[in-house]
Amino acid sequence: MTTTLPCNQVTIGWNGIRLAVPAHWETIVSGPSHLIFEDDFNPVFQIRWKKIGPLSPQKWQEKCDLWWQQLGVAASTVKLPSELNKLTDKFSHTRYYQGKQAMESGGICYCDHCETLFFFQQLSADSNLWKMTEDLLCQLSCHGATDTLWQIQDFSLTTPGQYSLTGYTFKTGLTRLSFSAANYDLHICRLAQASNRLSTQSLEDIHLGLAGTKDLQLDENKNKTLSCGTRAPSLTRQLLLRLRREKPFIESRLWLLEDSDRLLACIAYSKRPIPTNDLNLCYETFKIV
Amino acid sequence: MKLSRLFKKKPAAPQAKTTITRTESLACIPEKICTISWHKQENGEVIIEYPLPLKPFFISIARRFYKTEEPTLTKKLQLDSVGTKVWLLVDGSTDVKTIIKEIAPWTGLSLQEAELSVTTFLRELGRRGLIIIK
Repeated sequence: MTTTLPCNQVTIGWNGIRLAVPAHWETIVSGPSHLIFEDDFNPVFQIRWKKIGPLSPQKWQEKCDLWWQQLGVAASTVKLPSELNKLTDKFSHTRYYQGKQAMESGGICYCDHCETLFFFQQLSADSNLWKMTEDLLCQLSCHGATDTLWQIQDFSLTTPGQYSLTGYTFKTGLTRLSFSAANYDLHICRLAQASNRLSTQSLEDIHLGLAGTKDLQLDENKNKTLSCGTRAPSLTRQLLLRLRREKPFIESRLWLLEDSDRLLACIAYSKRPIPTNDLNLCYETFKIV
Repeated sequence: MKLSRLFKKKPAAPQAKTTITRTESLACIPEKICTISWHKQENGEVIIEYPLPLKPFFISIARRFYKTEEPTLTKKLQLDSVGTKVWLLVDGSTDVKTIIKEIAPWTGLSLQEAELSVTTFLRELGRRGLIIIK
């Protein structure tokens, strides 16, 4: 699904949802299903979401109050502000809370289609935020896509729908996302300052370091910008690795993006041989945007 | 009186715990301590030389050996290129937020990564007593 966004907006994709946010906002991942948006290092908006299954309309209000209390924000329920009226067209249930301070206001929406609950909170008293909140939530996409888009900061990746996020890190110079699929674990890495790293280490060394093993069969291209690695051990070696609680089969790829000075890596570990085609979607879509 | 009472440390007076938000901490201005010396090397990297804080017990021992003048023990800290850039930006008028914004495009890191890197570095400089935060 592709939509054309105004030039001052960017698409953010994370764990099943897609949002269009102002380009000058910085997105902070605070949890697997929690994003905080900042404008000049000041938090302005946050959103959390949770798949909860079917919701009984009778219990909606009391459940909402309970969920809102769990957020630890003192606020009382009020009528949905007119600026956010469009939300009722998109979501089957909406409820708005207003705190004593402008920053304590927010709401809860429920999407009937994908049975997901959304909590949003406006963290700034800026009057423009009403319009942005409405636009952001109305353009929010939470269902209908077969693949999951992961687009945050400067990278973009699409994974098949059945992949589930098991971990992530946004350390200096190293971003890692870990996924669990049916047969294997997949780790996606983005390394910054590639030229600095390659001045002290070879592509091969970085590849082996990321994979965490030395017995990887590597194949580099002539330009030394792509390194493909595989490990398909013999039966006895498989037994030995399984005794060490290691997954015997590895399929990995590390490539250099000279224009953006980044190294990107996809590493999959499995107990069974990994079909090469399985990772093609990740190889093709993992890029710097 | 129990002997243990003599050696028991007095409980410290409760201090008012001040919590500072992230936004406030990013608006803080770091400043170099004027007593420390630093110079740039030929390769552009900075070496900071700062006095080593010694415990009074060790100072009293040192005094016995050096009757004329006590030597001032110093420690040297060599910064890498990123550390040097941050050190040069610490001028007593630039806030942490601006330093991060300067460092991010220079290193090719995202703002979030640069924030983590700069704040960790400034914390380390503060721990060694090389900067103060205003």
